[in-house]
Amino acid sequence: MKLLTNKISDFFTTPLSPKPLGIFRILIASFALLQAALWYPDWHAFFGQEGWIQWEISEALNESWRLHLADVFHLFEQIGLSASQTVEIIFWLYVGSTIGLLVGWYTRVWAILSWAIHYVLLSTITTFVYGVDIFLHISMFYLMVMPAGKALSLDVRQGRTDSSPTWGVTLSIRVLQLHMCLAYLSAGFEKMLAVDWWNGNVLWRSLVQPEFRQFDLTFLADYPLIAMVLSWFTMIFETFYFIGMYIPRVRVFWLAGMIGLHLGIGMFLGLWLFGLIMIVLSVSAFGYYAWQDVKAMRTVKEKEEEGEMALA
Amino acid sequence: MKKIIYSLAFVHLLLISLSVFHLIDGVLKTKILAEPLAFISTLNYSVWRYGFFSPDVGKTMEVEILIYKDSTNVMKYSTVEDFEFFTANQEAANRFYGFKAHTAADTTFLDLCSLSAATRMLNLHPEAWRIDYTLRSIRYPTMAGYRQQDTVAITPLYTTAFELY
Repeated sequence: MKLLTNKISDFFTTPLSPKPLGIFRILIASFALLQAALWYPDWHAFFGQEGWIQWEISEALNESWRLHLADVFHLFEQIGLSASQTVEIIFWLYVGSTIGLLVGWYTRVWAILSWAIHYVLLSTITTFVYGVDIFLHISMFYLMVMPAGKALSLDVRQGRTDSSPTWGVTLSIRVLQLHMCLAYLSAGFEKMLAVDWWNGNVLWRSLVQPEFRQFDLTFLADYPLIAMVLSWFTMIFETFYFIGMYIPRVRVFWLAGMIGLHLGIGMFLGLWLFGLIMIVLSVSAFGYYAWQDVKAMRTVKEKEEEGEMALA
Repeated sequence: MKKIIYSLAFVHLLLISLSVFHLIDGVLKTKILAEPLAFISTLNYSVWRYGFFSPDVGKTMEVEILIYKDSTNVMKYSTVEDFEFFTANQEAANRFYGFKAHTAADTTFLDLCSLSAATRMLNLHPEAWRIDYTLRSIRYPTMAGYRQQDTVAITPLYTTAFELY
């Protein structure tokens, strides 16, 4: 029992490098900028007062305490700005704050602003929100509360903080990792409860339905084993993510598998941003350690080769 | 301070665990806790289920919008015929998958969202005098069914019309 308590204590308190948090910040901010760039041509159609879901309706569908773009407009209206100008300004404020977050200049300030704007955006388009927004919002929340400016940032370069390992860094990395493990465990486990995941039919239907179809893969019906094997791979890699990612060396293989899985989602279902943010999150949580594993494996291999040469 | 932050992190992870394993589904429906948990969830989605792509991603919806410009001129937009709500790229179009699934959950929701989409269409087509909005459920056959030439099951879910006088 004491051994277990010590292990848990070590897991949450052993000092860790803040580099993974720096990588997390850079990847998430870059992702948010990419998403914003792709969204910009349709920005007013989604967020405008007369967009697909007009403000009157999206406000009516919302909980009363949620901050909507209309509420921001009421503030901006005082200085003579129109609804359309408010929507435009919010876009550029979002881009500006995300750039601040990316470079890590007064990181906390920009992280709070990025999260707050993202909160308002999601509250305005609740009917259009899907997985990619949810994971981005979770990440922005973490960037707001975690010491994300402690590595690879202007804050470090300009002396506002340092890259020393602290308990806050360790706790932050562990929370991010455990969140990913829980998300994948539940996703994989819920799939396992559905018969159509075991026989490959869910995967097959996703690939052929017009919503997601990228290629004509109807021929897979003649080879059901392919869809079945891919479904099993998905269920196993998601459910046992929490084991695979904590075993040195296996972690490299598992991370590669998860990247492959999400690239597949992008390529075959057209959900590129969703696939990308899941890759970004796994890389942020475990990529640094997987890289350390690769380096350690290389060192061992080199030593073995040196030993063989010496023997020869 | 350190103890408080560790405790908060523990509560956060506990909330995620209880939520993903459906252990607080009942609590989420109670009057006292539903609102505070919904509030927390908007901040960081800790009360969220990540069962993405499960259990039934194979089911989809079709939105069909008919725009009447005069008695002979009717424009048809259907999401199964490559209508993507005039979006500039696939990432923006993907959002309408969630839109269709969200709206189909509730009739009031559907009434409001179809009205909103119809208003948008009227703004884009000022000469139109009537808009029909239809939502259909589409279910593809299984692999075995497809091999036996089973057809795609299409079920009408909702239809409404808006006319300008």
